[in-house]
Amino acid sequence: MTARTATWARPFAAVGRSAGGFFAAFGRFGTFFVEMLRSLRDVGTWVPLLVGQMRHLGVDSIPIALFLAAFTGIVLALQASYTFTGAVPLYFVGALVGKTMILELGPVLSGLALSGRVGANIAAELGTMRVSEQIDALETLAYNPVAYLVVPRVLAGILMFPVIVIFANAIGIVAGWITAINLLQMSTDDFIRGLRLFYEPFDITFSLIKATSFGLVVTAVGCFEGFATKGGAEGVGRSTTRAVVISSMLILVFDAFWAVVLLQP
Amino acid sequence: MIEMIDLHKSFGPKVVLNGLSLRVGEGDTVALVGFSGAGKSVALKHIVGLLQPDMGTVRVDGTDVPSLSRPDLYELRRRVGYVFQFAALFDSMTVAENLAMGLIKHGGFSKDEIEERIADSLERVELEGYEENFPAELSGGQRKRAGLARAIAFGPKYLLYDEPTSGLDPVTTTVIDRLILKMRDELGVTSLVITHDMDSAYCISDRIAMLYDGRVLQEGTPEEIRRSQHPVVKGFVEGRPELVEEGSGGMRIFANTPASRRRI
Amino acid sequence: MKLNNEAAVGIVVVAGIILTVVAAFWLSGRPWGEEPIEVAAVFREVGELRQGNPVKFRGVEVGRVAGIDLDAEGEGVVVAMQISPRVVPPADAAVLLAPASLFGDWQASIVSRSSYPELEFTTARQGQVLSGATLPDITQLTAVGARIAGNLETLAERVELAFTEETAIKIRETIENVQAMSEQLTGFVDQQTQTYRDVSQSVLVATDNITQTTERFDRVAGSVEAAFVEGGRIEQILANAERASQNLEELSQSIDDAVVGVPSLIAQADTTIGELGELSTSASRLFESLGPEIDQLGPTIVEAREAIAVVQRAAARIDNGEGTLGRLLEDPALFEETQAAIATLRRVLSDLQANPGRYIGEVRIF
Ligand SMILES: Nc1ncnc2c1ncn2[C@@H]1O[C@H](COP(=O)(O)OP(=O)(O)OP(=O)(O)O)[C@@H](O)[C@H]1O
Ligand SMILES: [Mg+2]
Repeated sequence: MTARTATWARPFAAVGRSAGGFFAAFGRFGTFFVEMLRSLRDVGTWVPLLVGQMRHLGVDSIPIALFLAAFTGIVLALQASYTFTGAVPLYFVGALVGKTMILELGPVLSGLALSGRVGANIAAELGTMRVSEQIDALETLAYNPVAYLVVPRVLAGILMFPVIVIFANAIGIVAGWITAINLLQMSTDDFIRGLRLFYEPFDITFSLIKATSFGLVVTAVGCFEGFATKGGAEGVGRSTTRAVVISSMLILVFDAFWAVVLLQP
Repeated sequence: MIEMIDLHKSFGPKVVLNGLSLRVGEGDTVALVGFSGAGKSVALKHIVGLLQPDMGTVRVDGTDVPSLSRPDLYELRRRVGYVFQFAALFDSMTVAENLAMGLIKHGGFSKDEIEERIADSLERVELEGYEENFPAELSGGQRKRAGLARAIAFGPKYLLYDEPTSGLDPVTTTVIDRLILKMRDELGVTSLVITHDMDSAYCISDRIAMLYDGRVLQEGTPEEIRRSQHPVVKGFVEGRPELVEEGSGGMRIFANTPASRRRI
Repeated sequence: MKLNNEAAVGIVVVAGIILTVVAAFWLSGRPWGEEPIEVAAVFREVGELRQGNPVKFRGVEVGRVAGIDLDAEGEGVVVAMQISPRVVPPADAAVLLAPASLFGDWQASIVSRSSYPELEFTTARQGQVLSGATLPDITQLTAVGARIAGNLETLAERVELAFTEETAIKIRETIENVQAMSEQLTGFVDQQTQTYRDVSQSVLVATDNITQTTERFDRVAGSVEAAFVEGGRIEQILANAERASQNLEELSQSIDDAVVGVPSLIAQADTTIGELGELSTSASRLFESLGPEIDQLGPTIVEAREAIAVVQRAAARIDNGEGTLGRLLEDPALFEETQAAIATLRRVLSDLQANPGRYIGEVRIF
C-alpha cells in the first residue's frame, strides 16, 4: 500500500472517510445507549437526581416553549384566515389551528427550542465536567457517571417533554382562539366548532408520542456529545454546537418517521 | 499493595508508558517523580481503571484491575482515594457536598457522621469554614486542598496523590506533607504520591521512583536517590538540565520524546 | 415563595395530566357527566361521513359518530353512534346522513321516518339497528338555485319574444321581477357558500321573494291570457307559463319545508330540476314551432337556444339518476358549459333590456 493517495482519488477517500466516521459515530452512540440502558439498574444513583433534572430541564423550559407556542398560534390563525378568504368558511381556522398545533408545530417547535435550551445546556455542562476531569472524579468516588449524569437527564426529558408539549399545544390553541375572536371577528362557537370538526382522539396520543421521542433524542444526544468532549473550552463549544445541530436534525427525522409510521392510512 | 507490571500505554502514535513496573508495599508511601509530561498522571489513572493499559497490568491487593467487572471495579474504588492534579471538584456543588459525595457512596455513615467527617477532613487541610463555598469561589490552592479533603474523607485504604502540593505556599506545603505522613502512621494508608518537589519527596516517602522514558529509571530510598550518580536522575534531583542532556545522549530532556521517536 | 423541586415538578406534571384528559374529552365534544348510549343504523352508502362527525336530533347536537363499518353481509354500512341518553327517539326513528356544509363535513340526524316520505330508507334490522337514508351532496342545492334562475330568465325571454308591444311592457316587468328573483337566488346561493349556519334565515327570505315573484308572475300570466284569447300557440305558451309558476310554488313550498328540515329541500330540489327540465323541453318545442324565422333575430337567439339545450341535457342526466349536481361539479366540461349557458342567458336578458325595440319590432313583423 502506498501511503499517499493519488490526487484524483482524494475526493473518494474523503467520502470513504466520512462514511466510516458516520458509522463509527453510530456505533459509539449505540454503545453509549446500551450503557445507558444498563445503568438504569443503578436505581439508587439516579432516582434522587431525577426530580431535580425534571425541574431543571422540564419545568424551567416551559416559559420558552409557551412563548413560542403562543406566537405560533397567533400566526396560524391569521394565516389560516388569509388563505381561506372567501371560499372556505372561517370556522375552518379553528380546525387548522388545532390540527396543526397538536400534530406538528406543538411538538416540533418545542422540540427544536428545547434542543437549544436543554440539549445545549446538557452538552455544555457534561462537556465541562469531562474536560475538567469531574467525570473521572465521579468514577474514582465509585459512582457510575452514566447512572449519575445521563440517566436522570434522559428520563427527565422523556417524562417532561410530553408535559411541556401538552401545555404548548394548549397555549397555541388558546392564542389562536383569542386571535380569531379579536382580529378575525369569529365567534368562540365557530372556533370551537372548527376545532372539533376533524379532531380525533389519536391526535393527542400522536403528539405525545412525538414529544417523548424528541425528549429522548435531545437529552441523549446532549449527554453523548457532552461525554465525548475532548480538549478544553473549545471542545466544549464544539460539543454544544454538535448537540444542537444533531438533535435538531434528528427531531425532524423522527418527525417524518412518526408521520410515515403512524399517520399513513 | 499496588503493583504495576510492565505497563504500556500509547495515545495514537504517542507512546507514554513503555514497560513501567512499580510496586507500592502495604503501608508504604512511594513518591513518583519525573519530568513534566513523563506520564505520571497517566500511570496513576491506570490504578483505578480510569485508563486501560495496552499491555501489562495493574494489581491492587492482588486483583487484576483491567479485567475487573464494573461492580468489582466500583468496589475497588471505594477503597481508593484519588487526589486529582487539578482538583476536579464538582463545580455545581459546595465544598461540603463535594466531600459528602464519597461518604454517601461509601455507605455506612449516618448523617451526623458525615457532617463530622466533612468538618474533620476540612480541618486537616486547613480549610475550615469553607463548607458552603462553591469551588469557583476558592483559590487554586484552596481547591487543591478541597480535592485532597474529598479523597481522604471516607477513609480509604489507598491514597493516590497527583501533585498534592504544587501551587501551595511553603507553610501549607508542609502541612500537607505532614498530613500525608499522618495518614501512613496513624491509619496505615498505602500511598502513591506524584510530586515535583524533591524536598517533599524526601520528607514523606519510604521510597522514590523516577519515571523516565516510559519506565522507572531508578527506584530507591530517598537517600539512594539523593546520592544517585545516574546523570538523568542527578540532573533531575539537582535541577541541572545539562546533566540530563548528557545522560540522555544529547536528546531533549522531555522524557517521552526518545521513546516516541523510536516507535515511529 | 420559591417552590422546591418536588412541588414544582409535581404541580406541572399533575396539571399536564389533567390538561391532557380534559382536552381530549372536551375536544371529542362529549357531554359531561352522562354515560352515552349506543345507537346504530344501516345505510346503503354513507357519503363523506367520518368517525367523530356530529349526531343531531331536532337540530341539537346530541352525540358523535363512533364507528363506520360494512355489515356482515357486505351489503350495507352500519354506523354506530354514541348519543346523549336524554334523546327520546320517535317511534319510527330513522337516521338521515347529509352534508353539514359545503366542505365535506357531514352529520347524522335522528329523524322521524314519516317526515320524509319521498326518501328511500333502508329496512331496519334486528337488534336496535335503525333504518337510514343518505342525501346527496349539498353542493347540489346551490347549483339548483343557479339553474332555476337561469331557467326563469329563459322562460321570461321566450314569453316576451312571443308577444306584441302591448303586453311586452308587462312582460318586461315580469322579466325584471324574475331577474330580481334570480339575483336573490344567486345571493342565496352565495350566502350558502359563505356560511351554512345562516341557511334557515336565508331560505326564509328567499322563500318570501319567490312567493312574491310567483304571485306577480301569476298576475302577468293572467293578463297575458286576457290579452290573447285566440291562437293555440298562445295557449301552449300560457300552459308553459302556468307550469312554471306551479313549479315556482312547489319550489317555494319545498324551501318552506327546508326551514323545518333542510335535507328535504335537497330532495325536492332534484325533483324541481326534473320539472324544470320538462319545462325547458316544452320551451324549446315552442321555439321550434315559432319557426325558422326566429333564428333570423340574430345570433343571440341561437345562443339562447343552445343554452336551453344544455339545461335540458343536464336535466335529462338528473332524471336518469346519473347526474346529481355533485357529479355535475365533478365534470368540469359540463360545469363550464352550464356556466356559459347561464352567462349567455344573462347576456340575452340584458341585451333585451337595453334594446327592447329590436326584439319587439322583429316579433311584430313576424
Ligand atoms: N487522554 C489523553 N489523550 C492523548 N494524550 C494524552 C492523554 N492523557 C495524557 N496524554 C499525553 O500523555 C503524556 C503524559 O501525560 P501526563 O498527564 O501523564 O503527564 P505528567 O507526567 O502527569 O505531567 P505533569 O507533571 O505536567 O502533570 C503527555 O504528553 C500527554 O500529552
Ligand atoms: Mg500530571
